[in-house]
Amino acid sequence: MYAWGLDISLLLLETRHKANHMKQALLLWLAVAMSIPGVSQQTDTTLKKILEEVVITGYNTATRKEYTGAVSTIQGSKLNKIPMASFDQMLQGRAPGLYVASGSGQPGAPAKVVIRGQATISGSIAPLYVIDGIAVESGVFMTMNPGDFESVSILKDANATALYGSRGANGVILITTKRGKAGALSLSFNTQHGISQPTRSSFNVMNTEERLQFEEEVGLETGRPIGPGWIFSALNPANAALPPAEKQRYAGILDSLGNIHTNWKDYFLRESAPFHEYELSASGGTENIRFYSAANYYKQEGIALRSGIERYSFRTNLDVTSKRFSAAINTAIGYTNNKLIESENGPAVINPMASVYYGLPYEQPYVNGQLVHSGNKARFGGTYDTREGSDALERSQNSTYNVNQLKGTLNTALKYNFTDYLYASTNLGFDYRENVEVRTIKPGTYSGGQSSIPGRQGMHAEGMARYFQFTAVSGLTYSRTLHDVHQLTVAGFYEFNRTKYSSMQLTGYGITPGLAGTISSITPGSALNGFIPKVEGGRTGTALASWIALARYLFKDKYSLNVTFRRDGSSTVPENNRWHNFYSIGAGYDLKKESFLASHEWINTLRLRSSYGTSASPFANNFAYTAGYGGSRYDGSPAIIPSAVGNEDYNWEYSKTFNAGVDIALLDNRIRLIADWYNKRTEGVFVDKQLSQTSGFNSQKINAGVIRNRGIEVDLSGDIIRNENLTWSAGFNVAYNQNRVISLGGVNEFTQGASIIRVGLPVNTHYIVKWGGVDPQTGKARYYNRDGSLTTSYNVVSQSVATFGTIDPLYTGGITSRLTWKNFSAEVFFSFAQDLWRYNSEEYYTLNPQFIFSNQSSKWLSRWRKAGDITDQPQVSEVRNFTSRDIQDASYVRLRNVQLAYRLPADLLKHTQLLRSAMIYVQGQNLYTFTSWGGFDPEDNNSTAYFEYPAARTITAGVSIQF
Amino acid sequence: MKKINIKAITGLLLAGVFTSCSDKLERLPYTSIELSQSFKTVTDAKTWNNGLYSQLRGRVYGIYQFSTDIQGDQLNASLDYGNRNGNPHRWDGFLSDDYTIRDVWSGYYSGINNANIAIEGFKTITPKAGTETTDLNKYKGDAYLARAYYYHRLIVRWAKSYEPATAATDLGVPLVLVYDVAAKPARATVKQVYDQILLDITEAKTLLTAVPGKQGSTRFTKHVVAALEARVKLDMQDWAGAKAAAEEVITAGTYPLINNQAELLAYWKDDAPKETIYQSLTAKPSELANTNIIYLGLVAQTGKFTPDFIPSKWVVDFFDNTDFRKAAYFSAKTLTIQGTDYPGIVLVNKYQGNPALFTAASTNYQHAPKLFRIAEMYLISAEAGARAGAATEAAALTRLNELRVARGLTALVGLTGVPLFQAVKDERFRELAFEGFRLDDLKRWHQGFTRREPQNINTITQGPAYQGLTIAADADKFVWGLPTNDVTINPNMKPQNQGW
Repeated sequence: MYAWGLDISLLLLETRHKANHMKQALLLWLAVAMSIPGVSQQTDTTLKKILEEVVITGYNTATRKEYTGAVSTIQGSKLNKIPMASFDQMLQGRAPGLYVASGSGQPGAPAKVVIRGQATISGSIAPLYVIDGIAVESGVFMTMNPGDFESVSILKDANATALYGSRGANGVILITTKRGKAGALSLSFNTQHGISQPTRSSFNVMNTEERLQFEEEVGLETGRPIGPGWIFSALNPANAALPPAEKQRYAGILDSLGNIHTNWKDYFLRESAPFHEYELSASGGTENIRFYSAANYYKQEGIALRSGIERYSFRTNLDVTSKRFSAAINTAIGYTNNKLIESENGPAVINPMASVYYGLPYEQPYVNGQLVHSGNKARFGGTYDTREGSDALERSQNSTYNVNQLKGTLNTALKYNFTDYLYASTNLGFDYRENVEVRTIKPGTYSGGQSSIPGRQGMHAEGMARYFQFTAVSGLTYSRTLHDVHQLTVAGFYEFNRTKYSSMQLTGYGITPGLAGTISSITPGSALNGFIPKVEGGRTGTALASWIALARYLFKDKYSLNVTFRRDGSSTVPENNRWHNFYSIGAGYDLKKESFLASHEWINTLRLRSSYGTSASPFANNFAYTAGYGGSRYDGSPAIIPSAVGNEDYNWEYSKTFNAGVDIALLDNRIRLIADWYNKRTEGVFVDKQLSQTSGFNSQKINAGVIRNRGIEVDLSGDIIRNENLTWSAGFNVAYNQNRVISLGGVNEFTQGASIIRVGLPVNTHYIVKWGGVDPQTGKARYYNRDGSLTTSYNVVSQSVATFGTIDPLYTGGITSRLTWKNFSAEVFFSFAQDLWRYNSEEYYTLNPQFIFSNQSSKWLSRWRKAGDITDQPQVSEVRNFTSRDIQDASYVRLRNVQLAYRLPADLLKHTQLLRSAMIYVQGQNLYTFTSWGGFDPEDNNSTAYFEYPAARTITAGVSIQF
Repeated sequence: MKKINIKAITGLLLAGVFTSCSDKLERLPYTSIELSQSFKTVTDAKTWNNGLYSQLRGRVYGIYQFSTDIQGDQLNASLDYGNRNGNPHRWDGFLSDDYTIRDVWSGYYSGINNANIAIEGFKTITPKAGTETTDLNKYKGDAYLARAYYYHRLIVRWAKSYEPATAATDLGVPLVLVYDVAAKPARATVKQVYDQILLDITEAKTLLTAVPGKQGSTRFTKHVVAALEARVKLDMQDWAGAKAAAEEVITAGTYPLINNQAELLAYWKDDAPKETIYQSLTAKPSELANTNIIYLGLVAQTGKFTPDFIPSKWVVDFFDNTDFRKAAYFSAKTLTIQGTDYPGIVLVNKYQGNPALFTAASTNYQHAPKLFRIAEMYLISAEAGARAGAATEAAALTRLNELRVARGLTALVGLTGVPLFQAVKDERFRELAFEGFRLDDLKRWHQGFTRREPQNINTITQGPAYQGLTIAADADKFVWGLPTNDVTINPNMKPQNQGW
């Protein structure tokens, strides 16, 4: 199903047939057309040979037959038109062993990306991202235009990642951007428009009738007055002695409340949030100077009120060739304005995703067009509800939270060919990112007058964070084929990498209304006016110097051998561990080249690969090894006190990975299979060692643990029908990863809140008290003791067990199918994650007597009321505890994308004399999710559903035209 | 051709040079200061010295002070106390992995660690003659005195009281005098620890001899050295030594006793400095101290109170109505307990919060923590005199009466022997109430206790472990257990104290 590196293969062809201008023009056309769904399958299928696929390996490229590492390649065409702002989200399900989990449906939010399982407890799990040879910041992608991406390679095994040494253990994601081809100017215009909407219509909370009845019943059952349903109830004994007129008034109140039916979703969520994208690109040039240039405008409103993203991005890639010298200059710059909701992923009322649940159904937010909130309800004669929803609405309307991001990635790659087989190269580049984050609360509003705001006259917070990463790689590459049988590539490089990060933030008060939104609105603070501003900030940085060597040898296209070496010196480890060597070795054997298989024509490829090597992952903290002294004050003068114990033996978490793989192509390359088995053992995993407190410190991070990730990855694709008018292809990729804590260096386990790190279990294993159901006789909640007996008392320390699985899926992958008939094409894509469990904390808040004044889950209606009731919901008075009841299966299969396209017939376009091709398409993203998960969205980047912004369903229609 | 070649190679070479020039892997963190960078000049030493004081401010008041009072016999747990600090109050559930024990222990040892690093680090600084030398000596003296203070707190809480006959064999706490993260120190004897404290006090005395005492000093002075020496020597039953040290501060005349109601009220409410030999500097908003929040629990909206702990009736009654301290230490308030109001319950009002330190409209219970007050010196002198023998009893009674009269009580006449000692004890009970002395005094005097009648039984949590608790003299848990964490990790940290 994947168009196996087609366009890159074309590029190769291009270099082989330099003289053939005619062919080149054709190839150019094809390469441009590649980006259009429906066109790529129209080309010569004999090129689809697995081993001819070019893999980008970092520092070098190779064909699969030369290469022995485990790499998955995702073609840019799979990413180019997806209506999502952060490209990492688009990778979900596209490559085996790559787990992408989004924690937020906020447009532009990055995802959690894990390659081959989590190999650390407290360290970084993010892969290394490299664009055109220059390392870029992970997790910051919303300002990049994925439309510029030619391909994305996922480097997984040691043979592939050891080349990145101390940064490679979490895997490497290499991005190559589009380049211009020599030939006439080619213009391409693409635009799409559509809407986003919530994927579910119901939040499973009570409606007005249910709520009022619930309030009355709670009153009857416990005497607890939780709302007007009981306070004004005729059944309330306190009302029994009231005069008849008063009783009538009470009935009237209940009657009018009963006629209010507020669906808070209508106030906080958008049913059709608009989406617009425009992209114009141009490419072309001469043999000596070629360019690719693209401008993109992307605007997507979020499904939550006021959220959205607007992006402007621009890229120009220039290639210059002058005899033996060539240069590639890549510049990309983008600006994004991201509007966010407040307190996402938290139970606070100001999180609109929580207020949707909390708001009472008989609370009417607007009276005569005016919002009635706690600040002004007295003027309306008061209300009988909590105003929780209205207050949240007021907050949402009178506050802002915007992030403006400016991001640029620039690099210049120079190359000089001394001879046909020896060249020197250097690649200098940097990645720059600046975030300006502004949060405001309007003065003169209810929110702006809260006591938590000094001076009670609004707030303006503005922060700026600057990230800069510089990379320079220089080296020599020797590549030659000797006597037609020995194909040898040897290369050596020196690399230097420097990162700098700084941030500052100020929060000021006493906002002058006319100037709201800027720093100038802040009133200078003094002890008298109480507007004392807050100022914060920080700086950090790293330096990394490396020597790199790689060698590849291919004998008679049959035996291949890859060796890599990297020596890293890093500022993030103490002096005695500063320099470390990383290496890998890999071998490949193509059985198809053996005589005994030559006669089996149905086998096109049968190749075995294996590799072993070492790498490490970067640290979450740049200076964790130093014994640091923090600042304090005494008598207005500076003071320092020991703050960090440091560790002189602090070292990397080293991963040793063994990988064995097979590449198979059958039946005229119609069936293609790439499969890998790996065993990744990470040693020196950081654990917190408890110290004798007589040392002055409590704990110290030491390299003591061992974590193993072991798994299988399969990528199978095939052309089911392949003829002139009709092609039907399908692909399936799946990865199984088993994660185990092997050792914790002396201790057997330690708990981390509701999860446990225990030898023999996966790292993110749930650890909580097992739910024992509701006692039918008493209505009390029951819990299991560790010995299996039931009790009504709850003790998280003595009862917790670790039998509820983990948040990391055992299986992940994707399924895709594509049908092309004449000018029509259709593609469906599913992604899935199986065997993972998460806490559904939303139910902790909506099925909890402690929060019963807010609206609650309709599951309350099936609670225990009298002896004999068989239910899973205890009586109202029962204290709500966290148990295994809150852990739910978060497995899902998601219909991630459906695309339908029609390409206008070439005959028709010929007459226009202008258009080279044109296509119209419609697509739906995140259309349906198959899951047993009870919350809003099973997909998340952490262990707990906590009123997250759910992923939206986006439907767009677009036109793509080439001139 | 040739020309391009040279240009290209030059270009590539330049790029290579550019990259290798920046080959600097030695980076220092920006947001914290590395040890190697922190002992270079006397200014560095000054910053360290401020750090010592800042850290000390975080190791007085709060759990460092009220935990022992909660464990003692003067308080009842309110019905709404929510099991906050319930374990020390109930004794039986008070275990060696209790956060009180762990946090106080680690707090003192991290303070000691800081002093140890400073003492070593200061040695590497070469000051210029003149003020630099004087200042550095002061900083050195401060570090020794801080270390002595922390070790004294540790030895009092985690070891049996100093008894001259057994001190050389009774186990104390580990003596850590050099920073070493990997060290697994064994317990030193009580005598070894007290000897070290005296050594540090001697060092401090020499180094701080030129630093005059002053009212409300927020830095160590020669009077602070003497005050600590008096306290330590009283514990060691060195009556002459304790008396001499206490008299040195009293006779200096710097800190006259407060002898009227208004001044005493202001002394506690507004942190007036008159009787204070040393207090930690406290300033809003960024230099705040720990607070003794257990006694009041003001609910700002209603103006009523929900304290965690309420003084027992006999404690309130122990103060004569003419005693200025009664109004200064207590105040009758309206309590809200379990939704019911109880007017006229007397609460500890010693730590009501200094209005000058409020960071919001209502109290944040902030005070400048008072570590040494002149009244304690009168009581030390009196106790040392009363216990040393007949020859010093008259002088002891004089000091006792000076304090009593100043507080609005009458002078006692003709007391000697046991009655005199008892009068000193009673005065100590009153004067130093809720300042963290009571449990340590009972332990030192080998006395047990029975908690007595509360002011209103309905406002307190009742039970045999609460208002009905009786503790025998020298009961095991007068001496705190070694924290479980340290016993587990450090094989030399043994044996555990009896009863834990």
